[in-house]
Amino acid sequence: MTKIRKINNRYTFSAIPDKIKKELAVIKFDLDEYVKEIEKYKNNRPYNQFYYDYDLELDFSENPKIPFDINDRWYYYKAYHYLKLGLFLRKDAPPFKVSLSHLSPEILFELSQLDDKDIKFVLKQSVGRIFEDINFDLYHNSISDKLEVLLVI
Amino acid sequence: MSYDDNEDKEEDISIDVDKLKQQLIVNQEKSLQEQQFSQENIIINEEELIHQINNNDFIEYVIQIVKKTVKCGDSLIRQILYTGLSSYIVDDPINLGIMAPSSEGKTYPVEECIKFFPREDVYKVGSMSAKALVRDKGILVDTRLNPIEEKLKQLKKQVNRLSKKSQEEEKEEKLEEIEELYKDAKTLIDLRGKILVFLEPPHKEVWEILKPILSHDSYEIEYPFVNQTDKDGHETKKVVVIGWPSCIFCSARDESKWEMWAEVKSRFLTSSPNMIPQKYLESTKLIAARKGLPNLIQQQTIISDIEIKLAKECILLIKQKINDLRIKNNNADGKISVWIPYAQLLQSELPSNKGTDVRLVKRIFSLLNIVPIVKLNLRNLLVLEKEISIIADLQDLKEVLSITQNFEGIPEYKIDYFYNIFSSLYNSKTEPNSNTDNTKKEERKGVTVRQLCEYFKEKKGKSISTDNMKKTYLNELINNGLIDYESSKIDSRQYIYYPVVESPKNLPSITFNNNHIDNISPLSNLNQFDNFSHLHNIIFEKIIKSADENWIFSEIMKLLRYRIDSANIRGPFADYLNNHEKFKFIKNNPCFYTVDKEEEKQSIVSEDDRKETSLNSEKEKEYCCCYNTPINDRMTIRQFTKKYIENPQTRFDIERNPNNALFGKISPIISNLPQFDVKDS
Repeated sequence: MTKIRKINNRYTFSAIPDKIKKELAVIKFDLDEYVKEIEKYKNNRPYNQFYYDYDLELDFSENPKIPFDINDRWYYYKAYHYLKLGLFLRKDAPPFKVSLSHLSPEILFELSQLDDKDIKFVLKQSVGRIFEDINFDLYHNSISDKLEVLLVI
Repeated sequence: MSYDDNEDKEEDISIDVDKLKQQLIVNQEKSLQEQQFSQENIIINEEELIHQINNNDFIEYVIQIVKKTVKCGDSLIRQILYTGLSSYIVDDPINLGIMAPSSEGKTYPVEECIKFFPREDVYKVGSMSAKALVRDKGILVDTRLNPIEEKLKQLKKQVNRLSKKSQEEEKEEKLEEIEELYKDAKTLIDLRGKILVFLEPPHKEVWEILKPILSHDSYEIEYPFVNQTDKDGHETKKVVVIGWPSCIFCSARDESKWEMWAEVKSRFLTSSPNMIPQKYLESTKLIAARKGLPNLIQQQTIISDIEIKLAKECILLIKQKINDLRIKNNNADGKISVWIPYAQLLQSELPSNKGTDVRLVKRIFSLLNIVPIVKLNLRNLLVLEKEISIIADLQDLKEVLSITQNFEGIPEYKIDYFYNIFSSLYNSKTEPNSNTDNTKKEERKGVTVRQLCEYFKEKKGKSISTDNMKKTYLNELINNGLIDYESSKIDSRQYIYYPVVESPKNLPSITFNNNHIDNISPLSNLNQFDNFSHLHNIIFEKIIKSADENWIFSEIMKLLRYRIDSANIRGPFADYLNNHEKFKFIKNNPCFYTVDKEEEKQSIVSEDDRKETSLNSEKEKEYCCCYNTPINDRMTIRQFTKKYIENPQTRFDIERNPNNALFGKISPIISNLPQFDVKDS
């Protein structure tokens, strides 16, 4: 049981996405390890399964808005590659997964107070802000209307 | 929740994070399931649609809507719609050819019917070249028919980014990979569930590609066809066409002179629009209303946008139902099972003297598979183990025979010409032609083209040139062995024509008196402009005569023979059958309106009157198909047999003519029904 003391600063509905985005933005990961895992998956994948090459590079030089190196920021890295997916196959963008372990107990509590529709909205807003950081126009011209955010353990 | 007034509050909230996480995941899964369910199942709400169109026969509603803009073409409309819907039944779609002289209304009814189908399901081929077909509709696939376009696109982008000298090797590798992919690549054209509409005869190359597909030889066919896929000169050398589409073909060409005609004829159910003055009159009235009335009034008097939307929804719902049924049966080949109890009766009535007869029988049975599937919600079901079969009704036979117009595959207007012009003129002659001074005389009785032209003008009120007469009518009749010709003795430049079939009016092999023909009820119950063949009418009437409870019971027994081991039967046979889990009849015909009426009645009447009403309704219940069993419930064999033969309501059934007994058949099997009467009651 995790105890939270003195919650005297509950977030307003409009502040929740921003708070979630800030929490997700600082999540770090090891890129090399990740690439190794992807390689392992690529070798074992079924012959008839589609996959997207994560090594593929896109030129974002025209509208550089990324405030920092994305290579060690997990959600920025994912969002960056999702944008590339969006470019290729707008309607088939897979759901964007957000791990519950990356969210603070305060946020979890706030989410638990919302209904399904609001949870969806709040999560999409927060993830959408990460996408907007990378390339605002590209996001809204590609997968913004189709993107779904899923919570995973 | 209000967040504004809690700023000063201090709370101690204890939370279990793991529990919260679990709760969030569970809620999310629930909402995802609901979302998925709503996407999969409720594309079109059937009950709502029934309520809106006030009819539970969806296809009939669409037909009525099309009839608002297509006049005097009941058969043709039905043929086009059934052909279109047959594409969703993967097993055996129909191909329909519509032949008529120019401006007789071939393309118009097709356009009017096809517009109700989902746009993505219709390919209008027009005068499309083979290249256009392959490029527009084809996708790049590897040898296992997996799409490779995305992969190629990505590889190409990678290559473009490898511009530095140090990356040359890597670039080479990627290029090799691309080449490798192109080496085995094919172009795939997927025609599953598609409706091909040829508004003009296709190019020869397109025809060559589609020909084997239309004859349903093989489900997947590969052709050598070079198709350049990109600017770099990559090309695929093979085109794979997969699936059997249904096909509608309109032609005003003189098909008998057309080299593809024999091939078209063998693959298509040939039909032609009605060409009667009444149709022209109705059509001009419609044009006047369409051009002369304000749009809002047109919406009210001709056809409204809501009606069009509802008709589109009806087609979508039928498609949805067919897909559902296919998934339920879960066959490897996606075949939907249909049981036609009168299949043997029909087969024995249909002609089987020459090759074209086989084709006709195949077409009739194809349609007999399609009509019950389209009217699925109105038909009873037979459950044999896990397989659900739709039971074809006698109404379906009536529908099918009314829309298969002629035996030979000759367009209806040419048959009409043969009977009403050619034979009529020929029969009016009593002796062979001779010249004016009687010096020369033909050896046999015959008619010349000029005489035919004059007679045509006299009968039809429009003139036709001798050349046109030859090309349009006579060549076709000669090709089909209905007439023959020889050089004239009077003028050697001319030919005389004579019928080979001795008495064309006697084509039906059954003879009966003229009064009887007059009394035959029209097959289609809609209007006087329906095309119908008397021969088919006779077949239908004969089958109706044979269709009694004994007959349908014997047909059920024939099925049982294959499924039920008689050694295992314990107790009364009727109980055994009616409770058998692997063999049951399911009612799939909810009488919405009867139920509604009953409810209305009960809500209006006072308490005192209710007793009396309930007594009356008890009486009505005996006749209502829904009161005995709940919706979608099991029927006993007795209920099924009784209901099955109740359906066809023709004048023939009501006016029992003793002369017609000749055509009836007596079932050789002694009835077991009395036992069932006792058990079921």
